[in-house]
Amino acid sequence: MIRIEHLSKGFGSLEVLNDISFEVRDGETLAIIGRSGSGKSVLMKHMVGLLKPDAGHVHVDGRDLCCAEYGELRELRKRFGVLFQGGALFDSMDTFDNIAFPLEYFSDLTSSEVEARVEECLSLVNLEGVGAKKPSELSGGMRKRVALARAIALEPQYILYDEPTSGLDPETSNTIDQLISHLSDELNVTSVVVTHDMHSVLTSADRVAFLHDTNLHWIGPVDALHDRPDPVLDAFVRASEYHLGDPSASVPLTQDS
Amino acid sequence: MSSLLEFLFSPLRALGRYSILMARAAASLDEIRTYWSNLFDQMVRIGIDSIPIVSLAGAFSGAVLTVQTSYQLESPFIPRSIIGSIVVPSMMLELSVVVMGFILAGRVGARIAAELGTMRVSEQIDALEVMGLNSVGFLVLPRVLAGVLMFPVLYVASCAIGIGGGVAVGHFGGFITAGEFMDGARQFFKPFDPFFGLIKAVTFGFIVTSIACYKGYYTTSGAEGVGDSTTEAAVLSCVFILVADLILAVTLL
Amino acid sequence: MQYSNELKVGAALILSVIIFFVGFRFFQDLPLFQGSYMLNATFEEASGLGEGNPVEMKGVSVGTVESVRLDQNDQVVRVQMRINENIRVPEGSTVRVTGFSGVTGVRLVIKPGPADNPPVTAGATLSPPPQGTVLERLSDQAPALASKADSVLNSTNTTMQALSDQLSNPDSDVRTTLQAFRRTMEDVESITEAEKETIRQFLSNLEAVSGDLREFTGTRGDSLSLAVDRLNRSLTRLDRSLASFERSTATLDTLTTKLNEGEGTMGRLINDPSLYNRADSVAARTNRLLLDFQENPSRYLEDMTLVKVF
Ligand SMILES: Nc1ncnc2c1ncn2[C@@H]1O[C@H](COP(=O)(O)OP(=O)(O)OP(=O)(O)O)[C@@H](O)[C@H]1O
Ligand SMILES: [Mg+2]
Repeated sequence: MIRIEHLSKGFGSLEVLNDISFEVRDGETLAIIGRSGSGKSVLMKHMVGLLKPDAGHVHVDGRDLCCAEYGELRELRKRFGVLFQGGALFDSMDTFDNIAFPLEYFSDLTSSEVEARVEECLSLVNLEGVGAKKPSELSGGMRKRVALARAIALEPQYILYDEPTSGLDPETSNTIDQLISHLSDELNVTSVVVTHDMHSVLTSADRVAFLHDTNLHWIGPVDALHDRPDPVLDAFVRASEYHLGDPSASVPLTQDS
Repeated sequence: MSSLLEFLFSPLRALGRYSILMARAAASLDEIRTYWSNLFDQMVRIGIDSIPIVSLAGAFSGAVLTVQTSYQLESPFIPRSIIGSIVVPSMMLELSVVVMGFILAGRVGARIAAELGTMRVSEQIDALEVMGLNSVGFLVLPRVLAGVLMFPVLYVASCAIGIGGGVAVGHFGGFITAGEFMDGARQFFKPFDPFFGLIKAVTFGFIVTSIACYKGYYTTSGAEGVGDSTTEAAVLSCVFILVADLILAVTLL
Repeated sequence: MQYSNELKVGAALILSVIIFFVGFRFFQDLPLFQGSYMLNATFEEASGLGEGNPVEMKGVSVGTVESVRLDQNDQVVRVQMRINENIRVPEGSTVRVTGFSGVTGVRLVIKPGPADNPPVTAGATLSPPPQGTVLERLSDQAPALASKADSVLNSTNTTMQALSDQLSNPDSDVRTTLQAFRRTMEDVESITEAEKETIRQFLSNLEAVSGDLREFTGTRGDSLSLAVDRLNRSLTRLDRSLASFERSTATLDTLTTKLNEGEGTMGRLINDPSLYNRADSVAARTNRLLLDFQENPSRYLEDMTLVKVF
């Protein structure tokens, strides 16, 4: 369980997050939505201790990240798989080595088992046969999927996805959404998905957190979105919906109107 | 007023951050076995791959020094072997190692800063960290260690080839025979000289790699930031090589 | 990949260690692949001798100075030298310190004893050559001289007789001999005059050289100016004494040659009071000069015009 208490963060004079409290329950998938620049990625980085809060605390499985020793922090981080917004692939290594990297450092697998696991992860993200390519030889969407494969390779307890489907075609997006649901349901992974894609939210999330104007504006189960609980959130969701232009996605939301 | 204070404190802050980074690198020494392959990788990139350029620079500085010394000492009343006794200690004490330091500040320092800077701005360092790896132990320590271990090797190469270049140009250019050169060199040989050169090489190795790692590791703001880090790493390395050169000369000679 | 990286690094490390130590031993002038043995020597004065200075025998480098130590108890300098294994130093060899530090470098010179003497053993102590003035050296050989003088006196008796016969003969060649001798003396003097010009040239050349040297004082200032300083001192000394030195030795040379020519000449010399006086004063002057050299080297320092250049 990840619990965030009264977290505030700013960069210089810019206030990004202000007094944010919520928790991510074990086994659930929490979607974090909000405008571009509202601090979603910053919030996500706090969950793995990459950023230190100016005020407040982040607890992972009851341990406060701000007060943990570096060694303990590293142990906690091993429970996480993180997909960065930009992918963050090691560009000195080819695709295969990128995915095999965490396996080589943190698993007891033999090299043939590592190879099998890498192939498995690549096929999970629809990318068979690109193992020999360098990240610079891949398309943006492919890079994102390789990064996703790397994040799930060690079968972590928590997975943080920063915009897993941005830049992907609708069909591949669906595959990724299904993968997220699958990991959550079958392997009981706790997921945090930062996304702009309302379709993603509706298909894979259990709960939604909406960041607006430095605050956690709204948090609740994904079904509650139908009840249009908040005018600002409603405007945001509708904007996405029109932007998506996907009639099937808009059906449940426009039911009542 | 506060900006003036900021201006005055920023070097101190930089020094503090640099020291903390180096302390973290030192603290991860006990994990070096985990990053063993990185260490050898860096030793090859920093050391072995630099041998050609360092040798070239050494050969030319030795040759030029010999020619200029013989030009300046052209007189029937000074034995020509004096050329050897000026060229060899100069190469051992100063020229080969400082020229090498400057070249490697560009070659090694800039490369490290650009590499780590890019890893920082593309979140690769964050990615290492969230995997539970110690990014300082993984990235900084192998590079600094490789610098400290390989610069002396490069110094030996540069110095040996530099003196060889001096002998060759002196001999075949008709300034001084190889025998006279070596006689002069032996006449005034001080056993401490090559060790002093080694001490300098180790120091410069640490300066170049640690400054580059510091600049790269703390790169901010994108491609421009990487560019700034790279330039600053090379320039600062050169400046601190000069400073360290003076300090070592004053304290150890 | 992994393996080859480690291989490369290992090879580079080993290679550089080897190059470093081979080069080190090479410049230290230690024989690379051959052995060596030690000899000792004791001096009153080290004259700037230091570790690593070469040891020469007949101008060939045969080893290096291993250590130079001032023995406070006996107030002497104890020097250890390392001699190449294949060099045999015969017994009766002497060793001395020569050279001005700076330009030619200080070194030890071994003057080998008779070649058929057995070689000294490792750890032996070589003595400096017998010191002293010409006259002291002569008195060292007094016994030998006495016996020689005996035989000379014997033959003088006979010669005296022949001499008086000769002198009574106006065609005798005694006069011609004396005249030739005088002419030789004049030649010697004019040569010394000519030498003075050379010395002046030498000094002015040196002044040019010192200009060049000054450019180096930036980097190696201390040791160079020290070197030039010492060079100056030596040259000033040389300048002053060379003339009289040469004259003295030339005269002495001629005298000894004449002496060695035989009893006849000896007789003639004894009969010529002016020549005798001359020889006497030459010997006295040489004596004074050498004593002065040893006792007041500073007197020869006064005229250090070149040092002002720095
Ligand atoms: N390292 C940093 N230094 C300074 N400011 C930062 C830094 N990281 C983020 N910010 C600022 O914090 C704010 C939130 O950034 P963040 O990356 O969290 O946005 P986001 O919600 O993820 O946006 P997007 O959806 O476009 O990715 C932005 O205004 C950004 O300028
Ligand atoms: Mg973001």
